[in-house]
Amino acid sequence: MVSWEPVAAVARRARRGLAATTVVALACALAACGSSSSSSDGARTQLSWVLGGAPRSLDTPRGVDVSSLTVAGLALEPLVTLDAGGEAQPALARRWTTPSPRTVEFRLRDDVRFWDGRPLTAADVEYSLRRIVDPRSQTGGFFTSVAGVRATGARGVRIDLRHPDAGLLAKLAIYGLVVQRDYAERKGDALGSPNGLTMGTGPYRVTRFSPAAGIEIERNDRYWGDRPAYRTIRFEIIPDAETRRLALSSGDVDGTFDVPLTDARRWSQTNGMGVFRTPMIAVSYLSMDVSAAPFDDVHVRRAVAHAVDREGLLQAVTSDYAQPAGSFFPAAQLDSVLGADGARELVASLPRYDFDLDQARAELARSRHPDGFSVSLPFAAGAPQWRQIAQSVAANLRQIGITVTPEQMPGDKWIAQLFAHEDLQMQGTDSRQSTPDPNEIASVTLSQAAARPGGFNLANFTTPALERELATLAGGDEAARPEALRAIARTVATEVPYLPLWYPEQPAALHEGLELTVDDNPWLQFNGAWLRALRPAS
Amino acid sequence: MDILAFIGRRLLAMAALLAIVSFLVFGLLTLAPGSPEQTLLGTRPATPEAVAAIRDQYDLDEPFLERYGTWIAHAVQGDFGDSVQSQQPVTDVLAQRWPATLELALYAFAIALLVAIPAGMVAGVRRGGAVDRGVSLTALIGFSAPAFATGILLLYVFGVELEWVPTFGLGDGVGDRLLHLTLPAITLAIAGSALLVRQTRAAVMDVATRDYMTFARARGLSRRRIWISYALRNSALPIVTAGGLLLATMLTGAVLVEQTFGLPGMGSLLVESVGSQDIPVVQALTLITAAVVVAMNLAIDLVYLAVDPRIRHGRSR
Repeated sequence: MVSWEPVAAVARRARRGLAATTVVALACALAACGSSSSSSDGARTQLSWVLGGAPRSLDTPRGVDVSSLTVAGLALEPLVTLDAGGEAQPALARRWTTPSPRTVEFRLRDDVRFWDGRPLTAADVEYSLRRIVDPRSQTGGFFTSVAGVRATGARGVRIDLRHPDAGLLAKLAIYGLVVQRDYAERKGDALGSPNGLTMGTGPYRVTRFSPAAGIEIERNDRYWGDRPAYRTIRFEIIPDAETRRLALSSGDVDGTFDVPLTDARRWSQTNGMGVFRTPMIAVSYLSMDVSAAPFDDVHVRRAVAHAVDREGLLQAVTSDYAQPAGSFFPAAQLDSVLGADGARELVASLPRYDFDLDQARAELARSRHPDGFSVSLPFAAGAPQWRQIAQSVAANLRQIGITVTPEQMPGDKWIAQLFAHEDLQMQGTDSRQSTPDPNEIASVTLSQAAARPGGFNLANFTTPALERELATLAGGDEAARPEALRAIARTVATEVPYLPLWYPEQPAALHEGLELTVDDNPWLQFNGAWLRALRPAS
Repeated sequence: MDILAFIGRRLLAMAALLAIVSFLVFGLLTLAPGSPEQTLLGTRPATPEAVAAIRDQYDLDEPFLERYGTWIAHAVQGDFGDSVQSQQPVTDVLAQRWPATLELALYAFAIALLVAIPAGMVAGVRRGGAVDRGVSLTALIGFSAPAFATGILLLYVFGVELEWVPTFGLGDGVGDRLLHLTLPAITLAIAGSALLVRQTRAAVMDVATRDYMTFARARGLSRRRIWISYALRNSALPIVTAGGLLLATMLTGAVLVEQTFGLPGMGSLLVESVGSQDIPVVQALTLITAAVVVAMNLAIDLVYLAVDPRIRHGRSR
């Protein structure tokens, strides 16, 4: 039986002033606890953070869900991290060079030790990165550009690419977390699991991982970088959103990123806590499989585009924690290549699909399926906003003769059917980007190489012209990229293989004793950047 | 001897019942949509090597009855295989969860007993009086209120507004654990107490009118003797039955309370496992639930024997 050792929760106990166990003690506590619900202690030693679900694995190739990365990002470190502007900053790598467009060479720091005292070596980095870029892992799909990883000497690591990859450093920052090779080989399959834990170089060491009771991490006093602020961090797992809200309100926990978007307004109005917006480079969209009937007909796709009430859904589903999507590309990705003005011009020039059921009916009448058809829209059980979207889409499309059946399935099964890439029909998903480079989403959702099992071209949308434009966008000729991006954006907007819904933001909820000092960093949730952005409320 | 024979017969019946349940539970895997390999792989990629490894690990090439035999042989030793979701042994997963469920159920049961039996007895003896009407009305409200609603209400009042108790989780250490479980135990006990109150009241009402009660009062026996040795003992059978079944329900069906208060117990594990199609865990939990209910029935019968001499000596007449 797993026993739970007591952790000093001095602050909490002091606030409630309880020591005994009976109802009598409760009565005494009423007098003792007073009315304070905000943190009164100056130097906080423990932070209590909430996850909506248990991390799948602390071993990154097997756990790319946000819960796993939130914890792993404090325990394990990458070669580089991202600052608020998306620029790579040194982390485990002191510096790096690109001797050719297809080679990156990193030089490691020499003062980094793992928690057990052993020094970090290039062999550890080579081992870790090889597992991360392995196509059989969950992270492999992000690193298809990597041909090989090699340690060059005791402090050097070299990455060889199949083609230039502008987003490589950002992806390494988020997913390229380094573990100790000896420990990983010793633990084998148990690495990253509650039994095996992990061995890293990060500011916090994982001491307890229980999918039921939560995760505990302790400060690494030998950390090479800035001294971590808290002595211990406890990750509580509270699947029920309402309980999460009450726990935050009462101060039993300090904060969470798992704010249900549909309820965000009520959370921001709850006493004792505040909701902060943080940006994300992301787009939520519906995809339609153009390789099979009925979505192989562009009139059908345009009919669907006219029949989805995007503005209404944005209000209802995201509680305004999203921006309307002018195009399939997140705003930051258009801005980085076209500039803010150029991006605005492009979006204004794209065909619009206003919510208009008459136009939808007209488009459908022009198609090969004027009498409508049936299709299913699968979504994951743990994604309530997609249930609402599916129901709204079903209700609206029914009015033009299309029967959409929302199909709820377990999260794992939903992911599995996405990866299986069979009979995709209509799908809905959120795509969170690691970089402001439009090539990231373009190559992953529009390339021919991604139109197969394991790939994310869920619309199976590919043309020779598009492949040429994608190659230009990915290539090294900076002058040609803007026109290529415009062409791709126009193609997607005209052919509508993907119907963008909105650009979601990431709300964070904090107990009133804390505040978030950063609101412009889309990578706040990664590599523990959120932790460094927390401050006691003024 | 008769008692031993009685127990022996009941144990045999228990074993037969569990065997049937285990057979049905094992058949779940074959009924699940998709191939068994796909279900057992979960999100892991279905490469030919992985599929072959799964087929080997779970002996999927063997005929159904042989597989059942292997599974049940392992199950009685406590080995239910590995969880599909976390790849931990199912027994480890259960071991993390059963303390919360057990402690919550026992705590709630204790509250229910302490509240319901005295209230029911008073209501039964003073039938028709103000106390009886008050108790019955409260019982009706308690029985009708859904657990998730009362749970959230209590959580809001006592956890958020008054801050007397924490809002979720199990806490560390014995004292903290009792504190964390108080509100969930009260929530769970509300509906159960209501049922127990009604049963107690009905049983005591029946006994209160008997001649021996009048005679005991006439003889001037102490109130304590009358209430406990006469009234309670004679009305024990229905109360024990209701109480035993209540404990079984609390042990196996507290999922709404667990979800509301963020307790990592077996109920929420069952819901999660069904949701993620984690068949080995679902099989283990279903079997354990059946075993708990059957064992509780046996326990009720044994308590009968202990409490009521008429049953103990009945057969020898």
